[in-house]
Amino acid sequence: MRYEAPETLDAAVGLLAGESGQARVLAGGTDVLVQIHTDRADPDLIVDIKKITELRDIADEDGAWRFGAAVTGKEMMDNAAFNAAWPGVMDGVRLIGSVQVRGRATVGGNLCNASPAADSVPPMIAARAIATVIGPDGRREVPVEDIVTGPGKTSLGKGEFVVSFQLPKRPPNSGDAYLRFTPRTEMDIAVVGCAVNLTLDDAGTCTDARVALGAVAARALVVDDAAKALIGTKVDDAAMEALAAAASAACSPIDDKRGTIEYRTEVAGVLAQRAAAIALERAKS
Amino acid sequence: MTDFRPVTLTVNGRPHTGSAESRTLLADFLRDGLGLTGTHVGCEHGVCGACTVMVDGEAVRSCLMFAVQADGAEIGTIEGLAKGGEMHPLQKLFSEHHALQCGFCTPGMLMTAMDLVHSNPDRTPQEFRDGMSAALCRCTGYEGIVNAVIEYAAMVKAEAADG
Amino acid sequence: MAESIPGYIGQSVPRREDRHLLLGEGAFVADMQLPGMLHVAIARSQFPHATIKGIDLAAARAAEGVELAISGADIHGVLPPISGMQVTTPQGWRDRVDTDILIPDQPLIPHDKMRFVGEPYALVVAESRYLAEDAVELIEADFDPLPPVAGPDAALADGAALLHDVLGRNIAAILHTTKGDGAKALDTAPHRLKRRFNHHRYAAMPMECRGVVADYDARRDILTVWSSSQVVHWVRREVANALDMPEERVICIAPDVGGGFGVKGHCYPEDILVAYLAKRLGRPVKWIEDRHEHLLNAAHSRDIAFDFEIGFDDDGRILVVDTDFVVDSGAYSPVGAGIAGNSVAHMLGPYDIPNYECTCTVALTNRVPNAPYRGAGRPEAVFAMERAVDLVANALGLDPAEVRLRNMIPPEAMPYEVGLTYRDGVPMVYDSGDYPKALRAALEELGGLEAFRARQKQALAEGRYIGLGLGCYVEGTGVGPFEGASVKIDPSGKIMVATGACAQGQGHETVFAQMAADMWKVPIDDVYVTVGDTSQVTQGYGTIASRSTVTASGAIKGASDRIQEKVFAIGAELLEAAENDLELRDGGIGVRGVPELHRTYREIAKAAKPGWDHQRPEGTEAGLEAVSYYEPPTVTWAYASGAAIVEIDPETGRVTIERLVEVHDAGVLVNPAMADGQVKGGLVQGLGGGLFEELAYDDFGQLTTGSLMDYLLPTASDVPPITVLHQEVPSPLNAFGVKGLGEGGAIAPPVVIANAVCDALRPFGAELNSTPVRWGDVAAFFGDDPFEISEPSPA
Repeated sequence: MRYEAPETLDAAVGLLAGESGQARVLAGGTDVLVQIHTDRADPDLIVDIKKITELRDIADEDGAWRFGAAVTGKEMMDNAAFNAAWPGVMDGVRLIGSVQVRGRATVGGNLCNASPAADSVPPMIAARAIATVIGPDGRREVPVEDIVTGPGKTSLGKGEFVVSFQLPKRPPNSGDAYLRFTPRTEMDIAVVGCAVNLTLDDAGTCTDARVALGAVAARALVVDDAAKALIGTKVDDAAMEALAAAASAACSPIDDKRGTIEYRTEVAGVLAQRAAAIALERAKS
Repeated sequence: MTDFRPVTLTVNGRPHTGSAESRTLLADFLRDGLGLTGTHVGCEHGVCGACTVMVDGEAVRSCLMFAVQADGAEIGTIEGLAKGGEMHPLQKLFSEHHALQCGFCTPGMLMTAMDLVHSNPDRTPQEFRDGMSAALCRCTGYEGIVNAVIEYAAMVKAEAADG
Repeated sequence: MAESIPGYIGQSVPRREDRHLLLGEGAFVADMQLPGMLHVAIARSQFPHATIKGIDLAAARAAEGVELAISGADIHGVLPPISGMQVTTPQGWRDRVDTDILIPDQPLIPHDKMRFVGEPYALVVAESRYLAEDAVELIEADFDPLPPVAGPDAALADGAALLHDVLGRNIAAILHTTKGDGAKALDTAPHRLKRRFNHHRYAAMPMECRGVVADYDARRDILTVWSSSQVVHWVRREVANALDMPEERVICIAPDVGGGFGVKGHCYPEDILVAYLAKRLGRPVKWIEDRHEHLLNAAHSRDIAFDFEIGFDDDGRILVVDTDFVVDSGAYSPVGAGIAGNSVAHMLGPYDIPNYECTCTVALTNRVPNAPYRGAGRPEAVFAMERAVDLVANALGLDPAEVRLRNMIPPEAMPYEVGLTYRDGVPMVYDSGDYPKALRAALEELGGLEAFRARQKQALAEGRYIGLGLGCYVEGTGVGPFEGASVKIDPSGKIMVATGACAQGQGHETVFAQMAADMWKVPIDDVYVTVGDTSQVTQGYGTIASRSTVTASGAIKGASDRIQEKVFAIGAELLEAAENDLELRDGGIGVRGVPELHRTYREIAKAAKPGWDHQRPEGTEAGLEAVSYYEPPTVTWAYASGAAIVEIDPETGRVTIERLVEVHDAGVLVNPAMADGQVKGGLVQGLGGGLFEELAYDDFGQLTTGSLMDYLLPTASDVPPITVLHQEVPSPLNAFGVKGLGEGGAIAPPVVIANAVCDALRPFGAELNSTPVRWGDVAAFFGDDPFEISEPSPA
C-alpha cells in the first residue's frame, strides 16, 4: 500500500487516474482505516486529500454555503455562522462517531463510505445539497442523494472523488433538523435516522419541505410523500400523522438485532414527527 | 511490498524522526516505534478510545490514523501529562475519585478528558458525561471518571477566573 | 504508642496501583518488547463446522519475515489438547449431585475439523505482527463444510451432527438435583405457573484483549510466560504438562491486566502455543489478540434457557420450583459444568422454598465456548427466579415486593441450611445476613414503595409509563479449593507478601497490603505485595469466582501466623520477657504496657537469620518465612437486593433508567471505596447485558457482532444515577468476616430492568421473559395508539 498526500486537486486526480490497482481517497480516514482493519478494503494506493486547500474551505457564498469534502466535523462545529444557517445538517455532523472520530471525520467521507446509516447524509439530502465531483473527465455536479447507490456502493466513476458540497440559500422562516434513533445514547449506529427541512410563509403555512430517511433502506431515501404531507399545512397534528404514515410507508429496512423491520418502520414515523417538530420550531425562531 | 516513508513527529515536545510503512498506524508507531506504550489499543475501530492522543491540539484516535498522516504534527500522549514526576491535577483527581480500576482505558480517558475540558470547561455535567462517552471503560461504571472530569473543569475555570 | 499505626481494614486507603497506570507506565502484555521478539498471527475458521481437507502453508512460509508457519497437523501428537477438566469437582459434590459429565478436550489447533467460527487452524510466526498477518493471508485452506449445530435445540435433536464423535452426543454434562418432593409439591400446589426464560449470550469484554508473551532461557531451562490471565498457576500447569516440563521450570506472570471478569479465568490454546513456539524457536514470541479475535475466540457467556415451573399458595408462598434448563456451551466447555452448577445452586436465592427439582443439560454447539463471566450462572438463574416471583405476584394481585418479603429467609433463621450441595462438595448453609432488611432498604432508597405506587398512578394518568423493578439474590463467594500465600520478613524488616491471586484491576495489592499491615501492625508502606507470579508462590489458584479477598487473606494470615510464632519466640528472647506479655505493635514486637521494650522486625529478622551470631532461642529454626494454603471450610454467602425505576417512551419503547439501587452485603469491607467501585462496575456490566450487549449469530452460524461497533458496551451516557448501600454483616467463616464481592453487581440488573419494564407496562399485561430488553419488544406492547388506555388494572 502506497500513501500519497498531494497538495493540489490536479495532482490528486492524476494519482488516482494513474493507479492500476485499487485506490482509495482518504479524507478523515475514520472509515477507510476500519475497512482496512477488517479486510473489507485492501487498497494499493491511498490518496489523502486533506492537504488540498480547496477541499478545506468553508464559505458563505451570498447565503448559499459551500464546503470542501475534507472539512472536518470539528471545523464545521466551530463555524458559528454555518451552525446558525444549517442546524439540521449540524445535528447529523455532530452524530458522526464519537468526539474524537468526528473531529477528523468529514461529511465527504461519511457520504462516500456509503453506509445506509450515515448520520450526515439525510440532513444533507433534505438540504438539497449538491456535490461537486472531480475525476479524469473533469468536474460534474451531482445531487447528494444520487451519490450513494447501495451499501458500500457509489455512483462515482474510477478516479472520481467529491470535491465540495453546496447548500442552496434558503428563504427566511426555514428550519431543518435531524434525529436518529439508537440503542445507546452516544456513539452508536442509527437504527433509523430522519431529516426534515421546511419553509414557512408569514402565516405559518408550510410552503416547502423535504424529508429524508436513513438506515431504513439500502441507501438514504428522499420521501416526497412525507414532504407533501407537510406542504400547504400548518404542520398541525393531522399533517404530522400524515407525515408519519408517509415516512413509515417509504421504509424497506433490514431485520436485525438492532431493530426488526416492523420496529424500524414504526420508529421512522415517530422520528419524522419529532424531527419535523424541531424543524418547525427552528423555522419559527 | 513494503513502502517505508520518513516520519517526523514532535511527541510531548521532543522531536522524533523515524520511518514507517504507509500502513503503519499512528498507535503502532508510537507504541512499537517510539516505545510510548502508554497509548493503548483496545478495538482497532475507533470505538473504545483507549488509543486517544492529541494531534496538533485535538484529541484523535491513533488507531484510525496512519503514522504518515501525522508527519510534521505535534503529538501529545499520556506520557507527557505529568511534569517532572508530579502527577497532573487531572491524574490526581482520577485517583481520588477511584476513576480507574484496571487502568487500561485510563490513558485514553485522560486524553479525552483533557480535550473535553480545555476545549470548553464551561460545559454542563451532562455535557461532560456525554463527552466522556467517547471512551469506554469496562471496570468502573464511569461515576468516578465523570466526577473527576467535572471537578477538573471547575478547577480549570477557577484558575482562568483567577488568572 | 500502640495507637500510632492505624488499623487499615475498613479504610478507603488510596490504591497503590494507580500511579503507574495514570502515568502511562502500566506494563500490560502488549507493552512488552524483548530483544529478537517474534510475533504470531493466527488463521481462524470462517466455518462454524467443517472438515479440514488440506492446509497449504507453502506461500505463507515463503513470505517476507516469516520464521514459522504451522497448522494443526504439525502439532497433532506433539502437543496434547487442553484437558476438559481444568476445573475439578470434589467427590463430595459428585456424590450428592446426580451428574453425567463428559467434557471434551480442546485441541490447541485442530487437525481434523473446525468447531466454531474463530477457531484456529494455522498460525504464522514472523518478525512483526504486520508481516505475520500478511502471511496468514497467503494460507490456502480447504474445508468441507458440515451442517452447523446452530444452537441447543439443534444439538439435542435426534440425528444431529456430532461436534465430538468421541463423546457420541452433543452434551457435555447433565446435572440433576432435588430438594423435598418436587413432583408431589407441584401436584398439590394451589397455583402453578410455567414459563420459558431466556438469558442471552454476551460476554465479559475487558478493555484489554488477551495476550501472551513467552521467552525460553535454554541455559537455565526456564520458560517464562507472561499472560493476560486471571489464573497464572493454571496456565503454568497446562504449559508444563503440554511441554513435559517440571512446573517449577515454567514461570507464569500476569503483569498489569486490563480487566478480566472471568473471560481470562482459564487456560487457552494460545497460552500453550506461544510458550511452545518460544521454546521451539529459541526466541521470545508474542501474540496479542485483537478485538475482532477476542469477539470470535475468547469465551462467551450466559446463553441459558430455562423451562421453569413454580407452585405457590394463595398467600404467595412459593412451595416448589421445578426447572429444566439448557446451557449453550459452544464447542467446548473450558470450565466444565461450573456455570451450570452455579445456576443449579443459586436458583432458590434468598427464599425459603421447601421443594426443588432441577435438571440441567450443558449442550455443545458450533459456537464460541462458553465460560464464566461475572456472575457465572447466577445472573441466569436469578433472571428466571426473579421474573417468576413477579409473575406470582401478578397472578395473585400482590405487590412483587410483598411476595418477596413473604418468602425470604428471616435473619433469625441464620445460619440457614438450604438442602442443596455447593460445588465444593459441602452442604449449602447461608452463613449470615438479613435479606428482608436489604430489600426494604432498597425500596426506601427509592423513596418508598407506597410513594412510588402513587407516583406511578399519577404518571399513568398523564400517559407516562414508569415502573419499579426488583431483583434479589444470594451468591456463594470465596470458594475453594484453596489459595496460596507466601509471607517473608525481609532483612530490612519489610513484610513481603505474595499470593496466587491475580489482579485485573480489583486493587488486590492495596487490599492485601491493608490486611497484612493489620496482621503485622506495620505502616502499610512496609508491606510489599506481589500477585500473579508463579515464581513467588509454589501453588496458587487464581482470581475467579469472587474469591480472592476471602481466600488470599486466609492464606496470608496462615503464613503470617506461622512466622509470628517465631517472632514471639525470638522477641521473648531479645526482650527477656514471657511470650504472653508480648504484643505486635509499631512495626515490631514489644512488651505490653512498656513502650521502651520493643524490637523492630528488622531487629527480629537479624536475630532470626541463619548462621553464626544469630539470636534465636534454642529450637527455633532460622528464617522468617512461611507458605500457607488456605482451604476455606466452604463458601461465604454475599447477597443483595437490586431495584430500579424506569420510564418508557411509549412511541419508541426506549427505556430510561431513572435510578438504580443495590443494597449489598459482602461482610466486612476491607476498602469501602474500592468495594463500592467493584459493585458499581458490576452493576453497569449487568445493565449492559440487560439492555445492549449481545453476541448474535445468524442462521448460518456466523457471529454478526464482530466489533465494538456492533457489540454495544454501555458508555458514560447510558449509566443512570447509581446508589450502592453496604450492609456489612460479617461472615462467621473466616477471621476477617469478609465475603467476596467481585461478581455481585452484575447479577441483578438484567432482571431488575426487565421487572421494572414489565411493571411500567402492567396496563398491557406485558411480560418480558428474555434478555436483552429490546426497545422494539417494549414498543410492541403499545398498540397503534399507546395513549388510548382504558382504566388501568390495579397495581
